Amino acid sequence: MKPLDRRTFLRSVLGGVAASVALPPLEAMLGVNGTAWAGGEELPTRFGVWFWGNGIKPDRWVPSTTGSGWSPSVELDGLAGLTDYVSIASGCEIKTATHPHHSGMTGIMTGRKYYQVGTTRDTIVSTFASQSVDQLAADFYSGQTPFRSLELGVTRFRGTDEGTTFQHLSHNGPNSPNPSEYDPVAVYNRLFGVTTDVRVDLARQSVLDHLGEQVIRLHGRLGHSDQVRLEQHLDGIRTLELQLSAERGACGVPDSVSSWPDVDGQEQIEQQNRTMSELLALALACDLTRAFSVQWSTAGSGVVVWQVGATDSMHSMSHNETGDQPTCHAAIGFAMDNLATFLQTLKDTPEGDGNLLDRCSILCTSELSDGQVHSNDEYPIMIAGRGGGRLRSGVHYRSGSKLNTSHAVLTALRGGGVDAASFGADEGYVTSGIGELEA
Amino acid sequence: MPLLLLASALLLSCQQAPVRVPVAESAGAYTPPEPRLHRLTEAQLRGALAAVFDVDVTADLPGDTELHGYAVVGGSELTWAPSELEQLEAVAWDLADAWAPDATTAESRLGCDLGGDPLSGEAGEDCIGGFVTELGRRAWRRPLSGDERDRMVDLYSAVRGAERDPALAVQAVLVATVLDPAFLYRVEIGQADPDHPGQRVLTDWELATRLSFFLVDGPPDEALLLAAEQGRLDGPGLRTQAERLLDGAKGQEQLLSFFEQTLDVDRLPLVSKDPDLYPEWDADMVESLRTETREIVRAVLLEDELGMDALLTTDLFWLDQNTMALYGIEGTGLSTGLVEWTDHDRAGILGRGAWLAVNANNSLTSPTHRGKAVRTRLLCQDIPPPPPGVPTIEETDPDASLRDRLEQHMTDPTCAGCHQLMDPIGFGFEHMDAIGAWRKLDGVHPIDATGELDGVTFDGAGDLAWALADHPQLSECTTRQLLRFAKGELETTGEEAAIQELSVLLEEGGSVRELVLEVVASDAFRRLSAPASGICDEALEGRTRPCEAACGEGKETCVAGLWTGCTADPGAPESCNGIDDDCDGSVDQDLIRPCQADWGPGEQVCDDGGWSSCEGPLPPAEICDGVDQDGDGVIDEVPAVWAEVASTAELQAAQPSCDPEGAPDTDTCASSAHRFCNSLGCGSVSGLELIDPVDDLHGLFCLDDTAAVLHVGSYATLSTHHEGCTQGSVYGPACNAAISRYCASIGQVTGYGPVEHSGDAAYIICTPGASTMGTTYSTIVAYDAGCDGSGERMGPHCNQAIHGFCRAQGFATGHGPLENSGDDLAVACIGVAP
Repeated sequence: MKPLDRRTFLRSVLGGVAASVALPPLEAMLGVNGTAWAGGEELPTRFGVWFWGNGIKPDRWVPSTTGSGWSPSVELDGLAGLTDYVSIASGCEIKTATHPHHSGMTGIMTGRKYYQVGTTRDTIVSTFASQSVDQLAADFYSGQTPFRSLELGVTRFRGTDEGTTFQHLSHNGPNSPNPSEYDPVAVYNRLFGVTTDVRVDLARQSVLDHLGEQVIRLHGRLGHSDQVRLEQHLDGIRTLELQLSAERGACGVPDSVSSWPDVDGQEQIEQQNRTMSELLALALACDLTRAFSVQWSTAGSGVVVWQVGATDSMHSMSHNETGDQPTCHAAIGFAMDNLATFLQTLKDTPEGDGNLLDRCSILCTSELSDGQVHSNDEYPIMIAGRGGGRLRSGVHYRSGSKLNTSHAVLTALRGGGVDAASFGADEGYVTSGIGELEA
Repeated sequence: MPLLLLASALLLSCQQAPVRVPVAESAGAYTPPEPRLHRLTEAQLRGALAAVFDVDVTADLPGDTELHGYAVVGGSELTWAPSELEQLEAVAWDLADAWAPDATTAESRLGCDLGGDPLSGEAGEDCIGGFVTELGRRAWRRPLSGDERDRMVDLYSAVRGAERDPALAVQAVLVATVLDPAFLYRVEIGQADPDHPGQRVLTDWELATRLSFFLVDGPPDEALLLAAEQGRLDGPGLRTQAERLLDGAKGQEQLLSFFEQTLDVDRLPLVSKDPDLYPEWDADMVESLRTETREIVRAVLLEDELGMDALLTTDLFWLDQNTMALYGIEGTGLSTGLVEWTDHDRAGILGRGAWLAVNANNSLTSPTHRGKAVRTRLLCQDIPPPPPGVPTIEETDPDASLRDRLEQHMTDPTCAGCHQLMDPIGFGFEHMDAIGAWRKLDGVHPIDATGELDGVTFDGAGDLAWALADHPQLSECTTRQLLRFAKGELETTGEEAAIQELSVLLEEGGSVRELVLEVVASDAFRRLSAPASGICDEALEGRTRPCEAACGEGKETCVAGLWTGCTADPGAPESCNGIDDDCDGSVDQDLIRPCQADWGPGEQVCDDGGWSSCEGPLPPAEICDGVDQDGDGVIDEVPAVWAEVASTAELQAAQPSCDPEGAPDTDTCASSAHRFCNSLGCGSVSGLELIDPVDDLHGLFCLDDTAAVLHVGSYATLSTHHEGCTQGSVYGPACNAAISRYCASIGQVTGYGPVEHSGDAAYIICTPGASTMGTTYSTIVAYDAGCDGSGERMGPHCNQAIHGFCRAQGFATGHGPLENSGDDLAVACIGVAP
């Protein structure tokens, strides 16, 4: 029997399925060794970030056992079936911390202090000093897939008065965020709604060439800070050019998806999370992108997790709930259950001789540790997936000496196959990962 | 100057960063800011696309990122992300395809012949040239240069030549036009101003564009473009255009939008409330409250042309069944719509449901958020965020009222500084629940809605509204916010003078409408500083010259009268990395950052690429009370001489005849201090004189059995050491000298007392560990002005002065005078300064 090509396979499997992604392994599609497609190309490795806001309750989040085969803590109970695919780096600390939320968000995503564009106000309106870790990976994978990176959002709350740090996860640099998409239909249309026409593509190429030159002409007439902004604009045009020339067509088009409007003013978080997880699994399986980020909730998010009985926003609750903060705790558990849904979706998607999660490295983290006290030590960090064999998964590594969180981020980045010499700057700068989590 | 005094008190307590206190700033001369690219907002983009394609644009467009309170300000700092350009590109091709789907439609749209023979590359270029010229003026809001026009025609020809498809080539021209930076940003370069070297002014085209996006949130219409083209945007011409735009429907809408954004009630549709507690909160209620805000703002500011003070105290309500139910307004014959209704507790726009609900949590009110909204949005005073690692809630009684719980939180000095700026304002609104309905009780607790706003006390939201309307910073803040919104950018310090000048209008009772017209006519609205290295002669166009920046040399080019694009490395702000980032010759200089030390906010300095340890306040001193004050895990480990605090009541319990607040330096208070310390435990034997009084609290030092030795003596013995120390003299310089000499005579250096006496018997304390020192009154008066040797020579002021003197020598405290003569005196210093 002639081996099927990947396009045929995915079209047949995905053609009628969007709501659940359960791809059966199909030997005919694989090359002999099971790690490459029949066409001969290596299976890709991907890097992603899965982020939730407002942290954890450390006493109920950090697992009590270390090493291989860790037992889930109360808040990580939802991950019980995935412990062999998830490693934990606990006891680490953000070394660039000066202010709540801001420092942790930029510390974990860039390994740097937060950045303020010249302001005449006496408060913090912050942004990222450099590109975020998902974009470091996107740079590395650049040109190999139609989409440079995907940014998806689950819950919709966005803070407004404290800068891009409180609104966006992925950044290209200062005040250059890659906003998350919150509408599954828009994601679907972007990924699968494209009709290609060679004539139009050539015209598009001509327009993009023209625009690149227009941007460069304007560049010379601007002050320095606008020049930097316009350089980012130019990068965007180049990304479109690469997208236009990238090989596309490994995928058939699955059924459409639907949005999840509020019911009685309440966000349908689980449904939204499930749909976004499935769309992302499809995008990865079809090799439409290799870099992604999921912002389940923002830094300092005001999402109301009514599913666990919360009546106030997560951020407000993290400061105002008394006692052991049982509702906060339950809401964190709910976020972790949502993470488990995402990871399980990847695990249930076969690829090669394994599944998508075997070939992903996903940094799962937040912008602080205990939201109640804004702590930056005992930082919540998980690395999910096996990175195509680069990661030792299922290990709980515990630092006794407040290890720099950047070591964990670099471990995850290298787990995605990204050839990174270092991560971070100043006190956040590291050149080594965590050996215990690396294969 | 009460305001200034208050302000400095706030600065001390809100430690992370000072709150803006513009009254204390002296604004320098006006300096315009450098130009910025302004990314169009979603609404502006929609309007601009509609103007080009002449259709309603319904496609999803990239969303806004609000910065400093306004989406337009976000536009001056953000750029377009790759995914957003991708989205725009798809939308642009869809619109272009619909506009010119085939050659016939394209020609009919263009009104000219694109060339009958599609194989010919030449034909139709005149037609497309005319189209590009007209399109560019509409889309880029200015005439195209010859070069720009030629490049666009070249694009047309290239696509048409390659694809043999004039419609596709027209589409390419349209897409290239609306994806050009000249369309996606407001580009303001300006022209040189010969009268003000270094400054530039907007061209008429740029001014028309700025004016239009400010006043109607969309691109300039044909009448405005024509005025720009004909140079009619000076003085009265500008005012005519501004009034025309402002008074039209879009202009009124835009001004409403400004106030909705300023009050933050534009977030209303995103606000959700606990459905169990507030079943009436639904989309219908939100719509009623949104309408109410808009109708009140329209009536007060646009129709009656009043100022912000009037908006904050207005009696207008907008009634429908939702708002009547919410406000508890009943009555037959009440009409719906705008109604004057006197309810002092709901005076002004802040007493309406929209603002109250937006600035509350989902189930609880939030005095902190409401207070912060008043400070930041209405008074332009910023509140810094708290430092990390600080508990944001202490364990409090969950059954207490919200006010009581917040006030308990404010006992932590780290938090109190900033929360005192917010919470006391928010308490004024406590009668209004999380959706703005009146409540008598917070749970079971009566509401206390008293509070204070910068020295003005109030009881309830009505008083507060009037205090706010009178606040000296209200006019200036409204002006500042309007300027941010008008220009679409945060002001620079150089524009402070312009803001002060424009603020006068509202301060003197002017209307918001007049302020808008004043802003538009002001220098601040049309002046720029030259970017990069300045102006070049037009004759040098295209030439280069050497330039330098902080970190190197390069070349710059003369483009349109500006030296631009210097290629030299400008360096980076100094950061703590052992590198001279800003190339000023020093590495990591003057880098200090706040940090959280064990006992409060501290500072770290950068030293050779690394941060020093966090230097913060000292731990609180341990006292003898069964509590571990310094947090070292050991309770009551006091040194031999340590500081305690005793209340008047405690001192009088020890010795009822002591009057510590009236006469602290007496034999009875000496007895009080002695007994107070003696009863503490911790090896305490006795105590020294009372110092450092604060209200009914008194400081004193206790001495343990290594520092103090109690002797039961007699006046008879003491008088042999210094005459005059008798039962009659009791306590005074003679006995001081006598006791000191007595203690010295038995090898115990010096001492004090008597601490108890009865008849001839006198208890005295020798202090064998003390150091006796000679000094002068003219020295120790530095530590207490009341102990100058001419008035008081012994007494409470001298006790304080001796304490200060000994402290300065590194001792814990001291006592005396042991001896004195003229300006000279001897004192005993004892213990080790903490």
